[in-house]
Amino acid sequence: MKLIRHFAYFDEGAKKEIRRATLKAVAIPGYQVPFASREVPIGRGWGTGGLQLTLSLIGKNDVLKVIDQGSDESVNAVSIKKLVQETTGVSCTDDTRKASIIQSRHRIPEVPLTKEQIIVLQVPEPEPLRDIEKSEHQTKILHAEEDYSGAWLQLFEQIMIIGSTTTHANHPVVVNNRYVMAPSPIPRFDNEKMHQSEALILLGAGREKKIYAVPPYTNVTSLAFDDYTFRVENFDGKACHLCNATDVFLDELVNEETGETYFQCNDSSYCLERLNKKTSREEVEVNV
Amino acid sequence: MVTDQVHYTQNVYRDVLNAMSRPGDIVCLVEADSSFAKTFNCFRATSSLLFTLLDHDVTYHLISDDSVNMSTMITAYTLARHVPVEEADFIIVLMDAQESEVEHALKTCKVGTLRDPHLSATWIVETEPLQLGKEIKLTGPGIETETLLQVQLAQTFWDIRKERLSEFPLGLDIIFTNRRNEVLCMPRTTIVEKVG
Amino acid sequence: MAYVAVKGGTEAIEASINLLNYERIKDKRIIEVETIISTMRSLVDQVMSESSLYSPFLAALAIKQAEGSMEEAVFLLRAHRSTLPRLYVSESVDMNDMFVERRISASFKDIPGGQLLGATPDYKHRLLNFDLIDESAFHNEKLINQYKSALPPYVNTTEVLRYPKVVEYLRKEGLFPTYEPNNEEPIDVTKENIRFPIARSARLQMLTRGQTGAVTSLGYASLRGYGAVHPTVGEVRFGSIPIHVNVQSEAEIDPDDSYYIGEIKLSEVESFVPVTTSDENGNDALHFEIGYGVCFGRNETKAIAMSILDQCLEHPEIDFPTHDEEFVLLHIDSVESTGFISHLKLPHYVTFQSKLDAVRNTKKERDTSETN
Repeated sequence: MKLIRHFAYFDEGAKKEIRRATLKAVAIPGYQVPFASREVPIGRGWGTGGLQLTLSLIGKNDVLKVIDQGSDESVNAVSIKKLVQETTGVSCTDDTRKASIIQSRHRIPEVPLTKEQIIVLQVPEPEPLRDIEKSEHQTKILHAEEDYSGAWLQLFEQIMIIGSTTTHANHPVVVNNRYVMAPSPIPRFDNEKMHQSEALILLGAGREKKIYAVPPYTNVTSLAFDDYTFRVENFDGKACHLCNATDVFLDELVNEETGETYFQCNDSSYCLERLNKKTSREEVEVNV
Repeated sequence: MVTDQVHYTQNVYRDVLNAMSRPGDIVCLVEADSSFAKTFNCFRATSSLLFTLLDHDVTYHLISDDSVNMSTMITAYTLARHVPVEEADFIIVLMDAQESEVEHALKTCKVGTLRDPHLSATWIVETEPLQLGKEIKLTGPGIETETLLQVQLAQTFWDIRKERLSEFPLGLDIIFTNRRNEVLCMPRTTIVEKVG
Repeated sequence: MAYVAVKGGTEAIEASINLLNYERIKDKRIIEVETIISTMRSLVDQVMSESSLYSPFLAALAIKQAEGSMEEAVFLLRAHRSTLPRLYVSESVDMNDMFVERRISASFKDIPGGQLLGATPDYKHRLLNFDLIDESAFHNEKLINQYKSALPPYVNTTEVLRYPKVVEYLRKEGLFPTYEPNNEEPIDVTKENIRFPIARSARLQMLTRGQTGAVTSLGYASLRGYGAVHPTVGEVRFGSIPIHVNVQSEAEIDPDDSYYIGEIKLSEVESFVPVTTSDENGNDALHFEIGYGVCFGRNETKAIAMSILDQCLEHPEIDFPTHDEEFVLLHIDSVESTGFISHLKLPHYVTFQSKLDAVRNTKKERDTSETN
């Protein structure tokens, strides 16, 4: 018994449903459009939302980049790339500039994206108010009535109790001056990249069955008070030990032998690019 | 020339998505195999959109002088059901549509609810001319500064659209098509003003 | 020098998959798909039910590939289901048409048609049978022949024996209302997104697709006091149901033109639950409501638990977690729950870096304010 597989895994009916949901998401920036969310061969929670978006978008001539925690070689990124390649035959790249579709978990690349590109972000929990209100029925009402007092209160309480806002990644943003949105667990450092982006940003939550979007040239601001402004992760005085970059998100690593802390570009392909700008022929393997 | 339907609809979808993300950008669709293009008696771009977006799970309402024949064909090929305008997921306006019917549709089509704004109509509207020009100005998400266009539609069309969009996120989203196999989108977030 | 990334990821994954494949075959034993279908019926039925795909063959294949993991097998089958084009919707089935193999009621000692035990493990003593270690085909052949020859002779008949529903008895007495058939188009939860409050068709689908353990546990919690449903099993029936498809347009449907496409085995449970309601004068009246459970294959425990939860969710006004439809329905899906829990194994160091930064910052603020 031999099975004939569809291009990009899904049958046309499945793709159409995702595509219609995506178009509505783009028309209503920041609003979570519910969708059927079919099962795919990778686990729920492992990027099925992002994957469904990629599979509904991708065509023969696309070039795909997949990263997880900024790295192209992360096992999960490799696994997703393999699945898409096996079902489409498209070429993949590590070079951000060469990609037409970038699927990413928890980072937006350092290289600014262009209008020829679409970035697909994997989202575990699409509802920014979930910590405050566990019921989906209720959070839909809060969004409908633009009642975001709970989110503001949460920030306020953190400041009162602890002295600063302690959100880490996934700091909520306001999109097009209307919807409060979960940007996905990207570090605060990356929030600004969503504002007036040249590229279309799509976000997919497979398990929670939601698709949402930030169109290009759209206002995105992180939730903050005037007197307690939005703060990104602090890398003052630190640089990548490989390429010396200072204005990027850095991973903190520990030297096993000396016990010393050092820093390295999280965006591995960006780091490589910088390294290769200053060099010549011979190939050297680097643990990026 | 794209002969395989899977790749054809994928290409059309990418073009429409691009157009919806950048309202006012005029996007030329892939040239389809002539058999697809000639299926329906309408613009090639309109045909392409019907094949790409419609199926058994959605409903539509057709506004055209030849609506009975056309809708029978559309349902036969896409399996989408033809329903009254207030229920339709997609509203298709062909070149020969009566203005009064279009206005009525604009006034009564689905605009979603505050909780479920996505349950709103998507319009596919044939119009000529549809090109860069100096009649109307578009601003809003997806547009870097502004876009100037010439779109042949009565002022009442824009007026009623504006009324139905007055309570964001409620609204409707439009995909325009012209004779040159081009599309242009105006999601509900796009602000349309007359120039001069 | 040109810098290239150390490519560890791809090789690591390939090595891992090779090792997994090796583990499955290294003992040089092969289990046939047909053997699983024949001798592991419960596993097959559980996988079909949780995947909502009725195909004993595919379920058995999934079980073989998954090396017996329910989590993995259901995942495989659901993912496969995603790729199948959805051509038709079958006609509604009438459970009165069931060719019954087993049918019992806990509500009455005697029921029309009698209590038909069928093949059930309910009354077996759960003693490990060490004779099964050396089971022989020859010996089984003898047992099969013995069993067959002890059966009464077959009688050819065109009459199909049907068992009336126990609930009909209650209806005739006026103890259970007769409802107008609700022919609203059911929602298909695999094709549409669901919205809360949820339609009953969606609720029943999510319950029947639920992970057997999860549904059972929540039904149990309700019985133990974390719920206000006190059910008596009105009827459990198990047997075969024919499936028909009609391919004409809705306007022209003629039942005689339907196509029979096969039969499936179903377990069905109707639980009777006494419910108190008050009328306008504040008078309380007691009446019965029905909790409904149905599963592909033989899944009696799950179907009973499902019927309890169906009743719980019919009364969201009661303040117990088993009456909260989001709590119950969003946490019983095997693929979703196991997927999300296992996703915690994925690298989370960027978000962790962010948390580290936030904690350090907070500490810095506190230290600064303490020294001031």
